[in-house]
Amino acid sequence: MRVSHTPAIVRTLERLVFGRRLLLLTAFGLLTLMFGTLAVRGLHIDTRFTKQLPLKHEYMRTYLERQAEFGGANRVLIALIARDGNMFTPEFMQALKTATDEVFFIPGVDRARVQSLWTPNTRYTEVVEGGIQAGDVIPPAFAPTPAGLARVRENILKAGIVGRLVASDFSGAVVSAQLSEQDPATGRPVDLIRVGQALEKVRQHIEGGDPALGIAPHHFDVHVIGFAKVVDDIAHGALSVAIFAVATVLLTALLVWIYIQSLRIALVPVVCSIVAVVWQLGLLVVLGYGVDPLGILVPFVIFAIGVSHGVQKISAVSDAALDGADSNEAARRTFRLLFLPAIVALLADLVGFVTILAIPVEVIREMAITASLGVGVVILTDLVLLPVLVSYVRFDRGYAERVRARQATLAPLWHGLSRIGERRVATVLILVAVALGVAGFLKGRHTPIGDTEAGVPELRRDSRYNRDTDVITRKFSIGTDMFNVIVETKPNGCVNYDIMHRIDDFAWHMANVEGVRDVVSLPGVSKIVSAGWSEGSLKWRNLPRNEHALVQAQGYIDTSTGLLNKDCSVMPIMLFLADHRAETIQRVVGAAKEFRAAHPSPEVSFRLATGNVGVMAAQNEEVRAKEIPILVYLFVAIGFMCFLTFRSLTGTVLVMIPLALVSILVYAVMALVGIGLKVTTLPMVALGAGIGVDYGIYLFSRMQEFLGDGCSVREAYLRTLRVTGASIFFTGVTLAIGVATWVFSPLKFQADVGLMLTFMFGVNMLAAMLLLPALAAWFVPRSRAGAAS
Amino acid sequence: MARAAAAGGLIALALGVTPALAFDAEAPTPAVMARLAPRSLLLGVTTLPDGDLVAVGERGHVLVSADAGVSWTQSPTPASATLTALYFADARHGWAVGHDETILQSEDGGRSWQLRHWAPEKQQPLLGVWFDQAGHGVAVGAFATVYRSEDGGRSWAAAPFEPQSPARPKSATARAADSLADDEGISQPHLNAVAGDDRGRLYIAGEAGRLYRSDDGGAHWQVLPPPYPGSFFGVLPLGGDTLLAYGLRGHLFRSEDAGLSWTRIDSGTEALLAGGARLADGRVVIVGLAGVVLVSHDGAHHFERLQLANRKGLAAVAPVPGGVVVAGDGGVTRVPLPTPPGG
Repeated sequence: MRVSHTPAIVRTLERLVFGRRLLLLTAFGLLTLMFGTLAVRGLHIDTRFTKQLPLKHEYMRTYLERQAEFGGANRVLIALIARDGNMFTPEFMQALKTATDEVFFIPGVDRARVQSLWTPNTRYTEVVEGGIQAGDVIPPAFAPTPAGLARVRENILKAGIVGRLVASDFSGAVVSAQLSEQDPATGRPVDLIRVGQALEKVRQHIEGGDPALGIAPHHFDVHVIGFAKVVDDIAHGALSVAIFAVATVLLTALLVWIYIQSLRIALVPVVCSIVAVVWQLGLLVVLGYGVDPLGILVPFVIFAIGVSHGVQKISAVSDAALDGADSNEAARRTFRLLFLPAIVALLADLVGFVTILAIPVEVIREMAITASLGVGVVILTDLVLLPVLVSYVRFDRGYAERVRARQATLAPLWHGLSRIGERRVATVLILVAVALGVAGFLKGRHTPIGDTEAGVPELRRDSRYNRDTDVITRKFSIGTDMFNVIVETKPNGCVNYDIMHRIDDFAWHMANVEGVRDVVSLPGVSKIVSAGWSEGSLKWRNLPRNEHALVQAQGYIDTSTGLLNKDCSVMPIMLFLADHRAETIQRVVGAAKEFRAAHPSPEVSFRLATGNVGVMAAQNEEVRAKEIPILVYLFVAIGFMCFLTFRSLTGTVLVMIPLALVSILVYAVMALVGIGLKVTTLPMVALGAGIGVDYGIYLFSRMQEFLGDGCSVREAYLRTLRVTGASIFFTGVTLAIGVATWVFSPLKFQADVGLMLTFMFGVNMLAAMLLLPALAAWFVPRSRAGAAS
Repeated sequence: MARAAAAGGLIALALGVTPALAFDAEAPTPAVMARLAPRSLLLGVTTLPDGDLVAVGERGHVLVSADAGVSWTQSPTPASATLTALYFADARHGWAVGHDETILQSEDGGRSWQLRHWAPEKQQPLLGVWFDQAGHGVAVGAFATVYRSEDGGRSWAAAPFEPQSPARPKSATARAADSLADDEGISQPHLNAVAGDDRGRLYIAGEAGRLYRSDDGGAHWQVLPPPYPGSFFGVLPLGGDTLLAYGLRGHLFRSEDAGLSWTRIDSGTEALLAGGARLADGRVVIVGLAGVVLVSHDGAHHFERLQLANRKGLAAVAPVPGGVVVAGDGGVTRVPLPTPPGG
C-alpha cells in the first residue's frame, strides 16, 4: 500500500484512534447505552398537522390567518351507511346520534364545528302561508315514529343538505368534525393518532352493535376519512416498518457475510450501522423531535449508509488480510487508505440531506436535520468505531485462503469488464447512456408534481381508508378534499349586491372546472333563502339587487356555517373536489387565478386557499419552485466536494455524469410507475443522489491512484476492480435488496420510496462501474495514461 | 316578508334615495358560456312545433336540444340575469323574460337572442310571457307589472294593470280573499305566470289567491273568484273552458267554466306546484318542488304522484316522445312516462 499518499493529518488521527482503542470502545458503548435508553424512553410519534405545511407560502398565510375563524384544513368525516339502504329508521337515527355524541367528546375535536343531523347548527328554513319558518332538522321533540321520521326527511330536503350531510340516495348520513391544533383542556398538541383510534372505536361500536341502544350488529357500515385517520392508519402500518427493519438488517448481514466470507467480520459493519441508528434515534429525543410517519424512513437510510461505507472498509480489511496482515494491521491500513474518500463520500451524503432544507416544510426540515445528524454519527461509527472493532477481530486460519479463492473466481469477470477502458467498447456504452439519458429526459418531463391517484397516496389503493373514501365520494357530493377560497372585502360586504354578485360569478366559474363536485358559497345560500322569502318559488332563487332584500336573504345564515365572519367582511367559498390529484389541483388553482386576473377589483380579493387541498396546492407549488434549485445546489455541492478530493476536473466530471444520468432516469421511472414528485419524494431524489455518488467516489479515488502511477485507463480500471470492484458491486446489491423489501410494505409511500431507492442504489452502482470507466477512456488524457509505464 | 322589504326598496326609490348601485352600465353583461349550463337552475322549458326543446334559467342560460332532451347546447345571450319563463309562438319565434326586467327575443328557434328590454334599476323580475300568432304579446311580473308589445316583441310598453272585479255577486271565499288581501295591503300582487287558451283568452296566476282572465288579448283583465287565498304559480288551459290552476303547498284546482268556478283536486303532496304541460296523448303532467311529478291519465280529474329520487325542485315541464323533460334545480332531466296498460 502506498503509505506515501497518506496525508499527515490522517496519520495523526490513526495514532489517536488506535492508541486508545479500549477507551474509545468504552465511550462508544456508554454513549450507545445512553442514546438507546433515551430512544426507548422518550421517542414519541409526532403528528402535528402544521408540520406538513409550507408555512411561508401565500396559501398557508391565508390558512393561518383565517384558521381561528373558519377552522383549519383538518377535518374528519364519519359516514354511517345503512346496509338496507334506508336511513329513515329509528335504529339509524339512534346510531347517528350515538356517533355524533361520541365524536363530540373526542379530545381534540372542535365541538362548535361538529355537524350532523343531530347538531343544533343543522337547520332548515321553510315557507308557509304568510311567512317563513326555521327550525332544527331534527326537531327537539323528535320521536322515532313513522311520522317523526317523515318529518325529518322533509326537513332534510328543506335544509338543502342532501349530498353534504345526507347521502344522495338517503342510505346514510355523516358526522363532520374539525380538529383543533391544540387540545384546549391540556394546551398540548392534539394527538392525531389518538383521535384516529377514538374514531376507530366509534366505528367498532356502531358496526358491532349495541343492544342497550337498540343498534343491532352489522346493520350499519361506518366509513371514516380525514387526516387524523390517515395518520392513525399510517402509524398502524408503520408498525410493520419494524418488521421491515429486522428483515433489512438480517438480509444485509447475510449478504455481507456471503461477500466477506467471515461472519465475524461481516457483523462489524452491521453492528456499527445499528449503533449509528441508535444514536440517531437518541439524538431525536435530545432535540425534542418526534418521529413522524414520514420520517420513519430516515433510520433505514442511515443504516443503509452505514453498511455501504462499512462494506468498503471491511473489503479493504480483507484485502489486507490477503496480504497477510493481522487484523490490527489490516484495520490501520484501511483507516489510512479510506479515510479521505470516506469522509468525502459521507460529506456528499450530508450535502444531499442539507439541500432538502430548502423545502420550507417542518416535516421535511426535521427529516433533513435528523438525517444529517445520522450521517454525522455514521462518520464516527464507520471511520472510528469500525476500524477499532475490526482490529479486535481475529482472522481465522482459512480466511485469507477463502478470500483468495473468491478473488480467483472473480478475476475473469474483472478482466472482461476492464475492456470498458478501451475506447471502442467505451463508445458503445456512452452511446447507450446518451440514448437512455435522452429517453429518460423525455419521459421524466412528464413526472407529475403532487399526487397521481385519488384517495390517500400514502396508503395503498385497496386499503380500508381508500375504500372508505370511495364509498363517501360515491354516496355524497363531498369528500374531505376541500379547497377553500377566502373572499376578503369591506365590512358588510355581504349586503352589497356587486360584491355578492362577483362572488357568485366566481363560484359558478369554479363549479364549471372539471374536478369540482360542489361549491358552497354565501351568495348561493342567500339565493335559496331569498326564494324562501318568496314562498319558495325557484323563480326567486336570485340575488336581490335590493339591499334590504339582500339583508333579509342572510338573516338565517349564521357564522357557524363557516360562510361568513361576524361583520361579513370575510367569506370563504368552499369547493368540494373529486380528488386531489396533481392535475386536478393545478386546474382548480389555475381557474381561480384566471378569474382573479380577469376581474380585478379593489374591493374584493379572492385569496387562495385553505382546506386540505389548499395545503396540497401550496406543497405542490413549493416543490415545483424548489425542485430545480435543490438539484442544482446538490450537484454543484457534490461536484465541489469531488473537485476538492480529486483535485481534478476530469475526475469530477467522470463521477458527476453517471450520477446525473441516474437522476434523470429516476424521473422517468417515477413517471412510468406513477409516482408523483411531492414533498415526500423530492427529498428521496436528493438523498438517493447523495448516497449514489459514493460508488463513483470510491471507484475513482482508487483509479486515480493507478492512473497516477502511469497505468492506461484499462489497466487502472482492472486494478481498481480487483481491489474494490467486488465491494462496490456488493454494496450496491446489498443496499438495493435491503430497500427492495419495502415494496411489500402496506404503506404505499414506503413502497414508492423503496422502489425509488432500490433503483437509485442499484443503477448508480451500475452507472459508476460501467459508465465511469467508459467516460475515462475518452476524457482521461492519453498523454498521462501510460506515460510513466 | 319579501314584499315588505321589496316595498321598502320601492319607497326608497320613490323618495329619490337611490341605493348605491355600481351597475349603471348601459348594457347587461352577456351570459357566460358554461360546461354545466344544462345542470344549472333552469326555470322554463318548452317544446317547439318541430320537436326541438328550449330551456331558460339562471345566469341568462338558454339551452336548445334537437334530440328530445338527450343533449343540450347553450345559446349565447346578451344578458346574464336569471331568466324565469319563455314562450314560443312557432318553431322560430320566441321570447324569454327574467330578472332585471330582461326581455329577450329569438327568431331562429332559440339559437340566437336579442335584448329588447332591460331595467335593472326596477329591482324586480318578469315572471311570465305570452304571444298570439299576430305578434301581440304580454309579459307579466312582480308587483303587478305588465308590459305589452304590438310588434312581435321588438318594442315593449308598460301597461297599467287594473283588473275588474266580476259583475256577479261575490262568493264568500272571494270576499274572504279580498279581505285577506286588504289586510296585508297587497294592492300590487306578483303576477307569477301567464297562459293563453285555444280561444284566445289569457289567464294570469298571481300571488295570494289572485287569478285573472283577459278576453281581449291582455288589454283588459277580470278578477276570477279565487278558490284559495294562497299563491298560484301556474295556469294550464286544457282546451275549451277547462283549465288547471296550481300553486303553494300542493294546491291544485280544476275549472270547467274558464275560471269562474273551481274544484279542488287532491295532489297528494304539500310541495309547491310550479309548472304543467299537456301531452299529445292527452295526459297532463304537473311538476313542483321536492322532485314532485304529478301525472293524470283521465283528463286531469285525478293525478298520481311520481317522485324523482333526487327530490330536487322542479319549475317547468315540456313533452317529448315517450315522456317529459323537466327543468329545475339541477337542470334539465328526461323523465320517461310509460303508458299504463290499457291506457
